[in-house]
Amino acid sequence: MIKEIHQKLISQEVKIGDLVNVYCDNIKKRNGELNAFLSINKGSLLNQEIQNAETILHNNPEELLAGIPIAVKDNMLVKGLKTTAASKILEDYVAAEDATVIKRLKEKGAIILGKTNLDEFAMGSSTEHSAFGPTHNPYNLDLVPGGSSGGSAAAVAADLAVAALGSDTGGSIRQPASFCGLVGFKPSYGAVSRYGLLALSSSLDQIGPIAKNVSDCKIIFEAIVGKDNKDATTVSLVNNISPKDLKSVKIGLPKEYFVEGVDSEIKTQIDLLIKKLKEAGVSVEEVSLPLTSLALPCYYIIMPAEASSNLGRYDGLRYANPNGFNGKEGLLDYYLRNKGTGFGKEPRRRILLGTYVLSAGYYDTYYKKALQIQEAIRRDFNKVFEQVDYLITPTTPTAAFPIGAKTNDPLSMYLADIFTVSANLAGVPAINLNLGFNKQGLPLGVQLMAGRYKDFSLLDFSEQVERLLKP
Amino acid sequence: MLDKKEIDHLADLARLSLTDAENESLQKDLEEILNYVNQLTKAKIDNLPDASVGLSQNQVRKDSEPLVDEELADAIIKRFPQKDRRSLKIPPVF
Repeated sequence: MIKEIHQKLISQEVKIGDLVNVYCDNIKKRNGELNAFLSINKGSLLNQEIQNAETILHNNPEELLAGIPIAVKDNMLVKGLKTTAASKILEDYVAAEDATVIKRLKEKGAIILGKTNLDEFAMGSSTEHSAFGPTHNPYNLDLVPGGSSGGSAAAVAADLAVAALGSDTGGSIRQPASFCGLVGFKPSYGAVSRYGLLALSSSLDQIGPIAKNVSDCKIIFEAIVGKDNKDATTVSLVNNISPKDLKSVKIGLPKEYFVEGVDSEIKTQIDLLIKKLKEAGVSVEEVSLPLTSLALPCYYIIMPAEASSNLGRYDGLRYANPNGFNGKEGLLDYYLRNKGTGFGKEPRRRILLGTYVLSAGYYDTYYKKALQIQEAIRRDFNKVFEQVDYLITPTTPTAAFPIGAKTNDPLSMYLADIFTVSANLAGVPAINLNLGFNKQGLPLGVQLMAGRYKDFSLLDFSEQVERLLKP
Repeated sequence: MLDKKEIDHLADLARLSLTDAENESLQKDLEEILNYVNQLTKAKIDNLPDASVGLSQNQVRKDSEPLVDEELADAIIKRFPQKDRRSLKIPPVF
């Protein structure tokens, strides 16, 4: 899609300003019912970006992203725009600088259209835990778009943006991409800088693209990938491989992912894909990741532990002050009042859970054991990737679920991430592709994973799989 | 597993105020979640490796290359909700 739009821009069939207007009109028409965007870029800030994009395109007609309207999850800093993380505690916070990913996109001339809805501080799998109301799935407004990058996914699926950035700590890019029929890519841990991303779980968070096809994801990934002095976990990753012939590709199907509880239509369509891959010459074997059932429990120790520390900085003093001083209370009472009312239900739940697993007497039982299991999971993945090049699994056990179905049962919401968390724990790249649609016309997803830092190889293979999936 | 007193203690440590109704629903939620994550504490796995130290290698930067420039520092200070010149103003500690 980006390449086609780019052609129209360089042939001057379409002007950047007109293109941006088309998307702004779409937002005006549909955001009321979808609630995909929390804030919109406009006025002089937007005009400046359009002018900047025109100059970049003029000087470098090969710059694919110049003039392409992109949406950004509202947990990343975009200078001059509000960054709320969908939380009351940051309701009025306006970013003072750009996150590294935004800086890199702007250098290529991408236009930031606005900020998209999410579960508060990216804590959730449905975008219902937003302090500013849920996002609705464009395929059926009664359903969730998935989460936590649900606003980004809904915006792309409904043509309110060409593509979007999301963040993924346990599945928050791939699961909404699956529910909205899109491609969502979580890069390797260390591939993309998180400077300017409001941290949820620093040892797991990663930023990545959500788009209509693999090619668009790759274009965005190439723009944001690489070392950044402001995020010490980043490495430089270059695309120096050529796509492998399918006849030399080895696929693994981890048996622990094809279990009871996975929707039968998802299973059938994955079987069909496997058949097509075999016909194309790919060799397919069953493999085992024996600790898969422990991945989600492990995640629900490590993530809340890190989240409870990371969220400590939102004290109602430094970034935003939603309630104000009342002149009578001391610091402790001020904290209690602001954090008590500023954070929604899910962040409070996770802060307490994290405080619990990190407290004296429980640290070894929970946190240390979780880190040991995480290391064991990593080793299992390394071993499997000595046998095969890529893994294929369902992205989620089911298609999108109705709004309200899981909000009163946190554990059942957590289980929506059961197939996606392992990639974060192991630090490996993983992508969701649209597998097809079920009988109700809802999108289904398939997940592909590769060894750590094999991001470009995974994207190349995904393009080949995407072609096989086209009806 | 977690009673009202323990939830209150955790909330106190995390500097969150909770109503009694919230305390009650959190007892139920946390119990359910802890029961679930206890699969992990109960799991018997042979040759469990040492706890990981994360996925990254150490990286260092020279002190002479500061990460924050003056313009940004000004912009951040400008956003302080309450301030006294360049200092962040907070309620009295005691």
